[in-house]
Amino acid sequence: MSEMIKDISLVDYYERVTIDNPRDTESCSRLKKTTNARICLGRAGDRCKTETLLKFRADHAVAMDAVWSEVDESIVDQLGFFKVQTLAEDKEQYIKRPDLGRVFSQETLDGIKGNCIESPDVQIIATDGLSACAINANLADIYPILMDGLTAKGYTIGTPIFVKYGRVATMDQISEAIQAKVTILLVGERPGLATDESMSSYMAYESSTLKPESQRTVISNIHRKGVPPVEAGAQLVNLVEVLIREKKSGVELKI
Amino acid sequence: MSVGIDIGTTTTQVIFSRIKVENTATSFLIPEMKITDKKILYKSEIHFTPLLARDKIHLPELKAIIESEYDKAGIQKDEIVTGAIIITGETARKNNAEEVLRVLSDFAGDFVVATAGPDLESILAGYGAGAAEASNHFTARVINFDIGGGTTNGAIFWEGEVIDSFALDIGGRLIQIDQQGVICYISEKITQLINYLQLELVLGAKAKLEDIKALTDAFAKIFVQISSSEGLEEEAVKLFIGHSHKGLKAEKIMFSGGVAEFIYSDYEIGSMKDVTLFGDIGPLLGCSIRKAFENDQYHLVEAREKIRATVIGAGSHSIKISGSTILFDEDLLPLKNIPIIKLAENEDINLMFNGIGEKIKRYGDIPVALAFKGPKSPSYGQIKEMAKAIAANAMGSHPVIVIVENDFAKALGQTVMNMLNTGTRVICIDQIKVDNGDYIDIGKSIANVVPTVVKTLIFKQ
Amino acid sequence: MILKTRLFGKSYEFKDIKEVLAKANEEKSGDILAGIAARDTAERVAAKVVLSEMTLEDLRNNPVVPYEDDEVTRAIQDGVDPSAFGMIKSMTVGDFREFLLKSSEDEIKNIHDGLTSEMIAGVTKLMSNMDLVYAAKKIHNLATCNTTIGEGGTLSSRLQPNHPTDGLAGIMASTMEGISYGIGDAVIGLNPVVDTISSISAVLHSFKDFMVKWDIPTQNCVLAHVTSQMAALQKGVPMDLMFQSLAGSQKSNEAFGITVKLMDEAYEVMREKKSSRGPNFMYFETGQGSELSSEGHHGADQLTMEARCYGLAKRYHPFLVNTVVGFIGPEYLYDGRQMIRAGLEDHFMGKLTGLPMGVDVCYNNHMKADQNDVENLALLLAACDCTYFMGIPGGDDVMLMYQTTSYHDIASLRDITGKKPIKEFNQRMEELGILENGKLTKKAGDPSIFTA
Repeated sequence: MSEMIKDISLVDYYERVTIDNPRDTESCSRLKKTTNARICLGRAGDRCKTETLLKFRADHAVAMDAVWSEVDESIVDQLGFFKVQTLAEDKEQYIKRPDLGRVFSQETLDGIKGNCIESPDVQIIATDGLSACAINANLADIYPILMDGLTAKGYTIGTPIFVKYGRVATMDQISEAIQAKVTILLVGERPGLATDESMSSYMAYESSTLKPESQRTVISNIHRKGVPPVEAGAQLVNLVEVLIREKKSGVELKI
Repeated sequence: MSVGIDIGTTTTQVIFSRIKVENTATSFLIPEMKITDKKILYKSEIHFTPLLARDKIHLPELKAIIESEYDKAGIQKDEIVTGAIIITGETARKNNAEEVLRVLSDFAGDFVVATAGPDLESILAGYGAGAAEASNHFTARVINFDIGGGTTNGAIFWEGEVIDSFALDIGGRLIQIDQQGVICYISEKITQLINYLQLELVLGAKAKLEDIKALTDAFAKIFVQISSSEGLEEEAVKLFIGHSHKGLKAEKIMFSGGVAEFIYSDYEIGSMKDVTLFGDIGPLLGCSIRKAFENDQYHLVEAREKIRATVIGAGSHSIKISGSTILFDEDLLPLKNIPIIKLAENEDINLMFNGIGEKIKRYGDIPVALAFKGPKSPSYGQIKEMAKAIAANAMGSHPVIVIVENDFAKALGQTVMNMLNTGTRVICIDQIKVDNGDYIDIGKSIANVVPTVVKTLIFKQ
Repeated sequence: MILKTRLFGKSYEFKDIKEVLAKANEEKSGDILAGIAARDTAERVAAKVVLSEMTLEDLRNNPVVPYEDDEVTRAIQDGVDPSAFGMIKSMTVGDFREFLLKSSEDEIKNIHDGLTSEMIAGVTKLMSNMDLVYAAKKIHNLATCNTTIGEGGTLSSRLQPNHPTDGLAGIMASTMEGISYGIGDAVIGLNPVVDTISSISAVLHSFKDFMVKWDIPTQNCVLAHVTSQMAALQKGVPMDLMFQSLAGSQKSNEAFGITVKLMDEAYEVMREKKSSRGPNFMYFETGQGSELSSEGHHGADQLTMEARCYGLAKRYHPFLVNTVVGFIGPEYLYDGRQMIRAGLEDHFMGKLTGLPMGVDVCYNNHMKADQNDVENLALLLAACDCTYFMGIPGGDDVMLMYQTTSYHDIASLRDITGKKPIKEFNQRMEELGILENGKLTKKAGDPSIFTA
């Protein structure tokens, strides 16, 4: 009984044509290569084939679990992050009440002020957002390359902060608390069926709760199959230079 | 501004085009620079290629032709950012072809590549004819045959990219006929085929229409067979130059080159008089091809450019744009004719770089570029290891030049920089594919990307 | 108008109609997030009781956003037909529910021009899920672009061939696959990644070329911002339908970058330059919660704000209107149960407003919902003659990153309910050998039919 059914998540779905007796199989596989949409599936009656159905369910499962899972704290511990939590008490409340995931208690803010380097050139924050898996998958690659680059350029770097149950706006409160010049927030994106590991990076010059959302400069789609995390890290170093030189960010910045 | 100069068996042409590079990414912070528009500003007249003898190009006269076209177009040499000169067809086999290219590339502009070779010619003609776009438009494999005076260049495109290219000894001027209908030239390339077909086509003798037509019909049949991937007869296979085709089937067929003008017209040849009017078999070949595809109208599509396909391809399709997150030193650019050392992919990065120092030393004083594919998304640890190996092989005053296929040049370049003395300069670009034995030219940056031209070996000795 | 009642001996008092409307709403996470939902189920029922005793005139006179402050309110109120209003104004909301349940389609259509969005939202709050199905099934609103949508016995679909980078070859591959399942009789419509004129134009041309080449009777559309579509029209691009997302208040529409004036202009430009034949050529999408997310809800509940979108849409005689039910996220509709309720409500309200109403039955990955919830809601909507659904390869939108009904689902819904696509489209599908008596043939589901 040690035999195992193959791992369906490893099947290269984007190459497979499962139509029964198509007019032209070769042209189906060429169509298939033009898109990652689920085409050339074939059917059982009017319904999907079993393979198609199970693959869809597997992809959705991974996306759902990414939302409801937690960041592996050993990763942030190893990288020396200071850990805090927003007003959201648990994941369910975090999902239902985005407003709570944007703010900290006064006590938490005092903790940040007391434990983190003040007035750094660059403050780095990581938060789970809507996919803890994105942080688990990318942080260990993007963070050191970012640190290498910023150090080589001679910037002072703040104590990195990990926010549990955090949304993007947490960067404004943290930036105000420690008076950072540039704040970079790395956050898990809402997972799609294709990937649960996609991360975004938001950055702002003198990030503030008083400024509109358009203060932020964004790089999205950071993951192994999108923008590689190391390359995004190197690009962020360049952007930090630009933000510090121009003293602005977001829509005000024309790059 | 880009220039294209095509020196062919029969004709020489010049075009000037403006190439527009734009950010096509939705997120503007990781831009994706692409060539979004190529506008042809000037097309020259079609000149006959001046020859001193059958095997020698008349260089001064050729230079004068090109010079006059620059004048007519009102374009100064220093406006030219990039481009290509291509010597095509039989002309590439002339004795002084290499000298001609060298002289003209210096003359034509700062970043103009001189090149030749039947495969490259096929690819450029296909791009110029519009076969690459057509493959996207029809979601189909599109084959383009560029039929010139001496050779035919075939290229198959899928999703805008070349998937096969080849060349054949088929052309409109392989047989030439004088006013009296007497054959005044037969290329030795096709004598075997003529014998095989048992045709009475002899140098110095009068030609009969039926014999010439039998030959052009045979040529047309070869095009039908190649595009439908049917087996070719032995005599036909011998017409391939260098290597055969891969045997891929194409759904759409396109013709460019001088002969194509007769394929897409309704010109009819009724007698030898019509043939002698042109002095060669080109028009008849066009008619034969048109007839051969007559019952297959759906598959035959018209080329966007016919006689000018190669020169347009050369002028605007020879450059490739690097990835947009890269590292370069503007002062070092442009770089020309940098030899490539391609590393074999290996999961063990140390093994991959094993013995590279020796190879670099062999080039002595010439700076070289290290090239490899690299992982799709390398980890931080892998970047460190690659950077360490590259930094260890840095040669004194030479810049470090690295070309990778996957998207991590900025991370790698930055890490290499941090490891080296501040004096050493680094260029690290990605999304460019090269091979051992290639040479690369890297141009000055345009909107944070660099244009590159990858050249394979130029002349067959 | 009485704003007080007792239930099980406990008294409940509400400060205004807006509060009654909010608290009478079935539970939605968005109303809780806005802080306006009923405290508990008993208070919800008490609010329904108070609502049932209000007259339609009370609701007309108390729009949730004042007439003076909001152009959407003005567009809706100014559009009311006084004589139709006169026929119903003294009915209570409770009476109105019964009127809708016992009247014929013609009787309902006689009065629908007298309704405002608050009346429609109000009666919806009193109706159970099956009430919503039962009443909506009576109403068929027809509209004509190149073809006529909304006839009884039809179930139409939008072919949505989205692509992560707007790759034309990929878009057309999904299109071919969709047509081979008999999808696309409502529209072939792309949500573009890039909102540039050249990209819009390239996609519209590709759709049109395909429609001409294969003689497919339908309409083409690119769901870009209306200003970009206007610019494309000026360049002479073939555009059968013009698209825009709508919200239920002036402030939220401003967040979408539109005003009533702009939409009036867009309508005129389209009327002049469109490539379609019929009198209906606009396509709108809406969805509960969008006003709260752009802070333009004015303290009103998301159902009432949604009804106001339909009131605004009506001004432009659209060919298509659909709600995108579960797109916005769990903070507005938390789970499958809330999504199903919202889908039934929106569809009913759109139909009662007089629109050819379709539904994008969908969810995204941080909601507590899955494909089974989509299938449940789609079946309920098919049972009440929902005008059209979305058709997407495998139900997975690889550009917008959410899940909706698949090509397979549309075919199945037609089979289960015995419905067919729009007549001309159906006929063409039979000629192409894709459908036979409304059912998929052996040949169907193969995109290489169209690579020949």
